[in-house]
Order: sequence, then C-alpha cells, then structure tokens
Amino acid sequence: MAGRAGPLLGRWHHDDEQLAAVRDGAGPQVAVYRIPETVVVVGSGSDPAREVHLAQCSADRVAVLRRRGGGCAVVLDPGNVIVSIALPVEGLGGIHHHFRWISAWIAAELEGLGIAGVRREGVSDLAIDGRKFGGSCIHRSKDLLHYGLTLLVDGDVSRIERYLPHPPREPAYRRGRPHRAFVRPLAEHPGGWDAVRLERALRGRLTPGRLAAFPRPMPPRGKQEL
Amino acid sequence: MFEFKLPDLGEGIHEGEILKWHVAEGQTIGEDEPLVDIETDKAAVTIPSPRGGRVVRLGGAEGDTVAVGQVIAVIDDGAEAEAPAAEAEPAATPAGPAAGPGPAAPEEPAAAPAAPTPPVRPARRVAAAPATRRLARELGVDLASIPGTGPGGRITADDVRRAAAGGGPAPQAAGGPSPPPEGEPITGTTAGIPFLEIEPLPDFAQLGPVEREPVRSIRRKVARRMTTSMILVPHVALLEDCDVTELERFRREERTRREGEPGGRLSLLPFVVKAVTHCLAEFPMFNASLDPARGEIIYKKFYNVGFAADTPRGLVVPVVRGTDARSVVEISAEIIRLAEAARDGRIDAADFQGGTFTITNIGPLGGKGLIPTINYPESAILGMGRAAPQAVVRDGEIVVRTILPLTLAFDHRIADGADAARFMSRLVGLLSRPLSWLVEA
Repeated sequence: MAGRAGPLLGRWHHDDEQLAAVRDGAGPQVAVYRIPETVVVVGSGSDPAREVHLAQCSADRVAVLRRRGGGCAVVLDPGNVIVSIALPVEGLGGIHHHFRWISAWIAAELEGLGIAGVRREGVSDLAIDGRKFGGSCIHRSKDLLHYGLTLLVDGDVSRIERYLPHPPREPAYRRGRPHRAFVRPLAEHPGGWDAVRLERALRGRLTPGRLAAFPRPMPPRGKQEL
Repeated sequence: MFEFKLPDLGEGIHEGEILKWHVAEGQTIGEDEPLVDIETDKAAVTIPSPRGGRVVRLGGAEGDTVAVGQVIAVIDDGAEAEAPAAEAEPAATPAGPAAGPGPAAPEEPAAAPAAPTPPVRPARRVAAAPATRRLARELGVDLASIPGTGPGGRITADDVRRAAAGGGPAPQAAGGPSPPPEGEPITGTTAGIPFLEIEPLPDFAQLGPVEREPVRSIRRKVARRMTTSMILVPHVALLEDCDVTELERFRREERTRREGEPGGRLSLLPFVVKAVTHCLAEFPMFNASLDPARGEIIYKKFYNVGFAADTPRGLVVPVVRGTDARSVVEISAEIIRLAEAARDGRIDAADFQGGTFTITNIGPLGGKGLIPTINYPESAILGMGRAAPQAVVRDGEIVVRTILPLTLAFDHRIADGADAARFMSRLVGLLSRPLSWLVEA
C-alpha cells in the first residue's frame, strides 16, 4: 500500500508522544507497532537525493520522511515491526553502551520466542547468519535517549531495491552485497513468523520492566561512559 | 566569553559530523536550548548550549567533521575570557546582522534540496598561540596590526619580536595567503600567486542534466589536503619497476602456512611497509616535514606509515604506528584491523593521525601505476601499481617475472632526485631479494 502523500519530505512523528512522556517525567517507555503503509524514512543527516530513488517514490506516491536518529534510509511497510524505546538518560553520552545493551536485550527476547542465532553486526544491526533483518538508530538529546528499531519480518524486499540505491556507507559485514543478498526477512527463517504475530508476541515481552532487569554490558576497559 | 567544546559522547566516539546549526553567529541562545545536531555512527545528537549568551563564532560548517574536545562554539556569556580561550577569540565581531540560518525548529520538515547556508564568519581573526600572545603583551605589540608568517597567516613569536624591534613586515611565508574561510566560495583572483585566477564555472545545466552534491566530510578533507599539497609542495616523481617474483613466492607460502593466524592474510603491502621503514631510516629526508615559518626541516625519528584505503565513505589514510618495531606479520595484522575498521566506519580519529610517510596501493583495483600526491605535511609518498607477470630481459634471456611498478613522489624542497634514486634503489633491492632481510633486518 502506498503512502497517502508525496515523496516529500515530512517528519517521522510516530514516537512524539512517547518522547514527550519521558520529558514529562513518565519514566522509560517502550512501544511496539506497525504502520499501515509503505514509506521511506531517511536519517537525520541523510541526503535523500543520494539515498533514495525520489523519482520512483514520487511515481508510486510513497512518502519520504525524516527521523530524528542517524543512519541511512530504510523502507518501511506493514511487514515491518517497529520498536521504539525512550529513556531518561542523564547527559549526552552512552550511545554505544545503549546500542549494545538494547540490542542484546532484543536479541535475547527474540531468542526467547525461538528465533535463534541473532547477532549484533556492524554498529547496531541485528542479523542471522550474516543476513540483516533489523536496523536501529539513536537520537540523543540532553537527558533523553531514543532508540528506534525496525524488524523486517515479512516485508517485500523488492521494495527496498525499488526505492533505495546502494547506500553511501555500509558496515564491513555487508561486503558490497546488494539489498537482496544482504537482507533476509525473519519470515524466511524457521518459525514461520509474520509481522502481525511477531508484533503481538513482542508487545508481551518488550516492556520497560524487562529492559530494566536485563543486565547491562560492561564498558570496555579504561573507558568511562558518561 | 565561553568556549564550548564538543563533549565526550561515550566510548568509541571521537568525532561527529555537523548536521545542522540551530543558531547563527550573532544570535542569542538560551542555556539548554538546542545548539547543534551532530551525527556519529547511527546516532544523531542534539547538543544543547551549556550557557546562555550571544553566539560569537560557530566552529564549523554543516557537513564538517568535528572532534571531541574541539571548540564548536564561542558564546559571549558576559564572563571574562579564560586565558586559553584567547587563541580562539575573534578579533572582531561580525559586522551587521547575521545572515546565517535563524533558529530552526529541531524537527522541521527537512526539505533537503535546499543547500545548507554556511554560518556567517567573523572578519579576520588573529591566529596566534597563547605563548605568542603573552609575548605580544609583554612587548606591547598589537597582534591585529601585524601580518603573520606562520601557516595560514598565523602570527609567530618572530613576527612579534620583529614588530617590537620596529622592523618591517617579514617576507610572505611559504604557506602563502590565508585560505578563505571554510564554506565560503572561492572566487576571483587568489592574491599572491601570479596568474592564478579561479574563474566562475560555466553553467553546465545549459548543456545537459546535472546533479549537485555538497563537498562534505571526508571529501572535503581530501580536497583541502590535496589542494594544499599541490599548491605548496613542489612535487617530483621517480618511477621504477621492482622484480617481486621471489617475494611473491615467499608471500604466498607464508600466507598458506599462517592461514587463520592474526595477520596471516599476508598481502604485498606489509612487506612494502617494512622495507620502506628500513629505507626511511637510511634516507631521513623522506621521513621529514618542512617548516616554512622557521625555515627548518623537521626530521622525525619515529616511523608511522599510513596507507590509503578506499572505503564506502571515501578515501582515508589509517596509520600503522612504530613500523620499525613491528614484524611484517604484526604490520599485516594492524593493516587488516585498520582497514576493516575504516570500511565499517568504526575507526578512531587517532588512527588517522601522526603519519610520517604514506603508501597508496592502487594495484588491487587495477591500473599499471600512478603518480600520487604527497599527504601534506609529509615529504614523500610511495605509489604501488599492479604486480603482474611481465617479459623482461635477464642475463640476455627473455624471462617472465612478476613486476611491481613503484612511484616515489617527493618534496623537492627537502630532497633531490639523486636522494630519491638512492632510496628507490635500496627499496627495490630489499623487495627483489627478500632473503637479504635475513642478513640485514
């Protein structure tokens, strides 16, 4: 299903209420959701003209939105499950620490659902056997950290090629592979997962309480997190 | 006056790219209001201003990379300047109202096609080290009234002493005129270089479709450094073919024998790094820098060899430190580590710094050879072409040997062609007779 508007750049707003709640002192927030349409979402520093086939988006009336967090462009559709986590975290630091901690937690929760072999690759991807199915980013502002993750469950991989050229930068483990060879939806792994079922299952597991109980990784020797 | 430095964003993060300024120079910002968005890895950080006041200077243009600890903004908060802040204090505040971007809502719709407006720069600021400023105060010299002969127009202690003695202006430093501030277009005649006139480009869009892309980040750094090198340094290049047949045979055997060991994935490059290090010790003019402000050559007694790496983000030059104290396998392991980290965007900024000599190996990508540009302020660079079988004459017979084309480009202010020929001859000798290392190393 195509987006309602344009290709033209709007703002990714789905997590606004969650962030406002944390700013208002509501404590850690975790949300799991899907969206009903196809959109392209670019990073806060992305150049859409370079990272997106804008003409194709325009022809298909797929909206291009900009998120707060960094990283390159992604295609989202109803086959993706989105995890949004907003945390009150003092100062501005702790970016890699939170990438490691939250990625490890989500990998553990996926393992708990029987999805085995999940590894963190690159800075913050989730992959099985070197094939990516999850990408994440962080937006940090003073005393607030927002982590966003998209899990490709039964989304249409051909849409990635349709809307995104090869990204301008890539993690080493990608090794120049085109989208089709680099990503693999969870639905193609054992377990027969679809996005609706995974969304429901994760809602029961990804909660602020379970995150708080998950052990934090030790910082590297000699390094001090803010 | 308060100098705000890019804060530590946590382990492993040493720099970030400026995505967007929320204020322009000359505007007022409140404490804790958004100042700048910085991107690092996959994270974007909105950094608030730690002080309220008038923004006197912004420390970079959008797209620039800034290091942790680098001054990213100077804010006039009404307090007296601290002593170390003097160096970055502008000589004059911007004239007239700031023309840069006004304070933007942090999450405004990002219609990226609009070109980023560079922050307004103050008029000329006086660049001088704190010790030079102290000397000027002691001698009663107004820094703003004298020209600087140091790099980029920086005022040196000698300039101050000369002015105090009533001497005339010093001759123009070899560094030439100060470059225009970053982000400003280069137009018109560049003063000081006869006949160098940079004319406006034709309107290519009249000829056919074009696409414009800002020169950002690594591309900007490469452009700046290469321009500096080509304008400032008189380059000379010496070309030679090196017979690496025996070395290649040995390398393949060792690679097979060391499969799975750290550094065991041996390429030709670590052997060349090691051999070059031997040569640098014997020919120190190629491990040197020329200091035009002092009229001196600086010979470095340490050996840090950089290698050019092609990454998805552009050309970078990671540096292998202390190559004189490392074995070939250790150098190999370090090259593999640095290359992978660079390609993954995980490399530390420190790994790009401190190089004394650079090697660029275009061979694996194709190309018989190349004439590289010196990685300023180093004094020489070695280019490696593709090692390939060639028919050559040995003892009157035509035989097939593996030939590696080499190019040494060097700074003719520091070294002469004869030095380069001797360096190259020594290097070729080491690489073509690898067993000789057993005797000499």
